[in-house]
Amino acid sequence: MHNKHLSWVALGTFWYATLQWLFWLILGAVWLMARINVSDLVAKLIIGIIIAIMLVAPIVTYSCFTYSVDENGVTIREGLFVRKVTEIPYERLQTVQHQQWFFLKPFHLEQLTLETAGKSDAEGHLPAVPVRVGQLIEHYRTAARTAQPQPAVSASVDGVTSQAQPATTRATAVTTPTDLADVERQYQLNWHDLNVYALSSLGIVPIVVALWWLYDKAQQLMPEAMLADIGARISAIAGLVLIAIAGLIIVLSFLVSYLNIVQKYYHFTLTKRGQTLTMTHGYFQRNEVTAPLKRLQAVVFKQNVIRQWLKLSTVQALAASQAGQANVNHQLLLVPVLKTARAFAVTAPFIPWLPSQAPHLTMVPPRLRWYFVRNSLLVGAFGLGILAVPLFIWLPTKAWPLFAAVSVVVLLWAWLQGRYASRHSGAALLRDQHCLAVETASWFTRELVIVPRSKIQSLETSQTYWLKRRQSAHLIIDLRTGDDRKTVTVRYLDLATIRTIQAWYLPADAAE
Amino acid sequence: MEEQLPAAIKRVWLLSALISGVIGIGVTGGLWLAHQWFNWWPWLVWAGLGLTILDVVVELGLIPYRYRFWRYQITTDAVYIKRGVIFQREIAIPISRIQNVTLSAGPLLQLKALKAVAVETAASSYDIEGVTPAVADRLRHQIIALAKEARDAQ
Repeated sequence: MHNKHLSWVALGTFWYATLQWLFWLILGAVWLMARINVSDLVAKLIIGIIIAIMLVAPIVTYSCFTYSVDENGVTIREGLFVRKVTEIPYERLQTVQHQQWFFLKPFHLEQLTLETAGKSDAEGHLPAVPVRVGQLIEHYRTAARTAQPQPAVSASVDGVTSQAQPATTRATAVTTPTDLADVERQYQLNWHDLNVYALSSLGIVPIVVALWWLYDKAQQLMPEAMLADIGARISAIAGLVLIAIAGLIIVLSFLVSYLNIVQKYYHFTLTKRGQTLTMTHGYFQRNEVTAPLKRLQAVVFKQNVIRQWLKLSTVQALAASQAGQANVNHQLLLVPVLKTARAFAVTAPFIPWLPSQAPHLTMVPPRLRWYFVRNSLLVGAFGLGILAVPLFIWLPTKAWPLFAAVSVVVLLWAWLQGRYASRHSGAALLRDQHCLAVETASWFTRELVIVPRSKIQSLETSQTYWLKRRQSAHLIIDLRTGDDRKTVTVRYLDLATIRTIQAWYLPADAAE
Repeated sequence: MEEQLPAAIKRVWLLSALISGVIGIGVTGGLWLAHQWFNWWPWLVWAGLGLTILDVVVELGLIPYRYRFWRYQITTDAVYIKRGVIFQREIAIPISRIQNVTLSAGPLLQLKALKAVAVETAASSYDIEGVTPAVADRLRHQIIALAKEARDAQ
């Protein structure tokens, strides 16, 4: 396939990107013009230049951007002054992400993000290409992975001569784009679960914003109302109206954030085909991520205190490297939400090494739990100490009651958090699956990590001199996620538990 | 068969502590000049001097403990590192997870004919602070051979 330009729709993407960096330029120009007296001509000139950049830059970016797909890999060429050529061989491809906004659907276009195992910016990003290109890449990639050279597909993306596989699947492209391997197993998030997920993810942020707005307005209106000497009744009505408006805003922001989550995870589907997992979701923007199973480093079952109370869990995967935005904190979402009781039963069939039942963990023994509370209180006290300095300098008269109130809240919070963490820290060996399970907790969120022995990069224990005498230590597991490391630390485990894990990790040296 | 670092490493640490002392005194001198010429606060000079002395004393004082508690071991399966006095760490790195072994030597290590070994996994890197060149080469070959063996066996 020859070098091809992106679809003209990509012009929109580039235009948007140009606007994003131009925004600051415009802001700067406006600020400058407001300060310095510039002549009319200069002002017009500046505006003219900005408009010219706005019109020309995307076109230049567009015309310099070409890509080609062949049986060896994907090549992307971009840049006007600095020509940049990115070569992505299929063997190096880690995850492929397909994103399709609803307005791209009628044109059979999508946005592709290709990510490799490389450390730096070896990532390929194609803002708008025909769906067939994505299929072609998946096809070649599967062919490269199975290591059996597929019969040469006459894969011209111009669509003129293509009769082979990628082109014939075109009709069903939008729903099932990956070819070759059959669907082995599929799980779709049901409406009820999605609903609960959306409701329990509602952020506190919009509420705070709304309350702030209310407070701001109240401050503005109150003195005015008094100054104007309007009767108490009218101001009462104004207050009612204000409360009603604030209520409306809160309800609206709830609704918007609820609908946003629903549309984002709409029809969330986890699919296993051969040795790959595919996650698709989204209503306005259809999002598809494909990742090879052998790249998964660990699976994380996560729940915050609210979800724990609702008996719901989120299942994520750590992958050696992932593409694009589908990841929250470098994690690949496997199932946004499902009943905790069913979490293992549902996900186990997708991942060969995952147990089908929740592991029975050895928790931090009760005699060591108070360390968590102590540490949490110490952190809280330290924060209070830092807070105290400016408080007593600038508000010496009101400092004591304020400081006392804040202290009570902070220390109570710290105590609860330490208590929570102490009761959700533990580890277990899953000898049949050759996996280690560890649970940790922070900020009222607990994480159960299941990691195969072969994916633990190194195992570390850490103990202070005093902790040694109490027969306890911290266990630190080093994992790889993305291009980086992730360490999972389980604190204050019983030493006997740790020795068992060490012996399992390196059995040959265990006798020593 | 846990191995200790060569005794010469103590001299390296000693020199490094003295060098940081010299740098500290240099900074303190600079602060004194700034006080003389630009009227900087005089307490900055005392703070600089105090910190320098504290740093050197702590570094020197810790050397015997650091030496006594630093251990490494290489078996057919893994590299083990033990270190730390108050915060004691034990690290186990299976040979099959090792991606790279890097030998390096700064001027101080070169002076004592020692080399630092960095053992890298896909996630992070661990240092063996100083070994004799013969041991370093042996380690490197051993680790690479074992890593290759482990990878071929998979």
